[in-house]
Formats: sequence, C-alpha cells, structure tokens
Amino acid sequence: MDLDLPKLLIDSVAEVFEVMSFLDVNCLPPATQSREFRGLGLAASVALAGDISGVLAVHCTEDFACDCAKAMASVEGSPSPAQIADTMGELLNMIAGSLKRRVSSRAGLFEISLPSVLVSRGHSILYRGGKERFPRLLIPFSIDNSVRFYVELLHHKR
Amino acid sequence: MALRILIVDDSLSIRQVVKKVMGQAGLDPNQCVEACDGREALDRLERDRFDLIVADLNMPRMDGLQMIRHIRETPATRAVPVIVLSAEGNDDTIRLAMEAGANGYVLKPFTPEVLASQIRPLGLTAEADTKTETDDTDPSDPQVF
Repeated sequence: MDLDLPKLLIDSVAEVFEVMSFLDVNCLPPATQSREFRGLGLAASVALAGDISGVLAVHCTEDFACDCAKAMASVEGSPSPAQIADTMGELLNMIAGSLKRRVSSRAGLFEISLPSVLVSRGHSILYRGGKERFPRLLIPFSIDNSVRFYVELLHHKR
Repeated sequence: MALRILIVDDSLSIRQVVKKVMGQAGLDPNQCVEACDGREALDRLERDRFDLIVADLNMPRMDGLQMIRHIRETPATRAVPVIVLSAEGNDDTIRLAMEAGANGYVLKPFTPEVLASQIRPLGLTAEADTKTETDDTDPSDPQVF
C-alpha cells in the first residue's frame, strides 16, 4: 500500500499541537533536504525502529519552546529550562505515537525510543548512514503566517 | 480522609497537566504525588496509601506494564485503580496493559475531558461515596479512549 508519510506526519503534528498546546499550526510545503540543516536552538528527537526506521525530530527556537511549555501547563510565569526541554520532548513523543497509530494499519509497526533534547544555538545534526540510506523530509510549520518550527523525518522503510 | 493520587510519568509537563485535570475532576491536586518511573512509583506505594494511579507506559528504569503487574501481584495495592496515559496506541499495547490490570487507557494527546471521563466512573470524587444511582458504570469495566 502506498504510504503518504508526509500527510500522516502533518496530521499527527497538527493534532498534538492543537490538543496539548492549543496552537493552530499550518504546514508549509515539505521538502526533501539534502543539505545540512542548521539548528534553531532546540532540537528534540526520537529514534524509530521496526518496519520504519530512522529519526523524527522537532527543531525550534527556545522562545517558541517556552511558549509551548507555558501553553501546555497553562501557566503565566517563565518555565524552567528543564521544563521547556521536557515539554518539547513530550510533544515529539506524542507526535511519534500519533504517527505510529496512523502508520500501523498501512505499513507495519515501529518502536519509539525515549526522546532526547538538545539545546544549543547553531548546532547541526548529522546522522549515521547519510542521506543515501535515509531520505530526509523537512516540514516547516507556521502559526499566524510565521514559521515557528520544523519537523524532520529521516526514515527507511523495510 | 482525602483521596490520594499517584501520577507516574517521566515527563514533568504531563505530570503537571494531569495534576490540573485532577482538580477539574473534583479531586484535590494537593493530594497528588508524582513519580518519574515505575520503580519510583513502587517505592512510593510501599510507603504510602493511594486511591488512584495515573501512569505512562514508556518510562526509563521500569516501564508502566512492569509496574502495573507488580501492583496487581501485591496484596496491599492489588485493588488500586490504574489509568494508563500513553502515546502508544496500537491494539497489542492496549491489550497488554488491560491484561496486566489497567482499569482504563487514555491516548496522548488527550483533552482534560477525556481523562476526567475515565476517572469519574471510579467514584473517586472528593465526596468519595457520592456515586449516583444513575451512574451504572462498573469501575472494573476497562475503557479505552
């Protein structure tokens, strides 16, 4: 069965941000990126293993992550750096879980690792295996017509 | 005696959201105790009495399934209701959780209403014994949302 992975991923992202952060996100056209992606300040990632294997990541600024943490916890004050990182890791975990549910009926199962979060300005992430093995999909998402974060998927179908 | 709730999740953000939902469901958020994984939850259960456990499945050190099995095998905790709150939603995982002894299963992402709707039938409101005659839901009936 032909798998429209970008659409399933976009639907998963929209569901998670709407339900947990009350943010109405819109996606811009996805692109298969071959060049190195320069990080925005915070990157949350999970590894996928099984019928689909690879890496799923969210890239955003620390400011956007802070907004998400405040929205999710419904608090006015500034969340701690640990809480900001935790929020983005958990949002990504839910995106991966939602994607898994959508994919499982079409293309088999995969397992999801615990999320890891990197906070560092100007970082870049290189994956073992490179683009030949894992095609790279990068989807920008906007809120109020302004790009706020990217979702990246490097995957290989068994 | 105030109802005590154990929230088990490796995510601080989720623990905070669940705590808030407990308040919306008529329970006292100040009576919520947090644990980061199954191992810490079992340590808490050895020392304290709890009336409800809300637990994730994928956690470091000890996952939720192992934790639920241990709770059900332990006489002192065997009857404590456990609601699973997980991003894992495939049929096999849900079946394993129910077989292990979960009383309900809520998928992440979740709305406060869905989580609260799993807790209300357990009859754990602040006036604990106020289960109405119109509420004919059997707390032992597992439900998945």
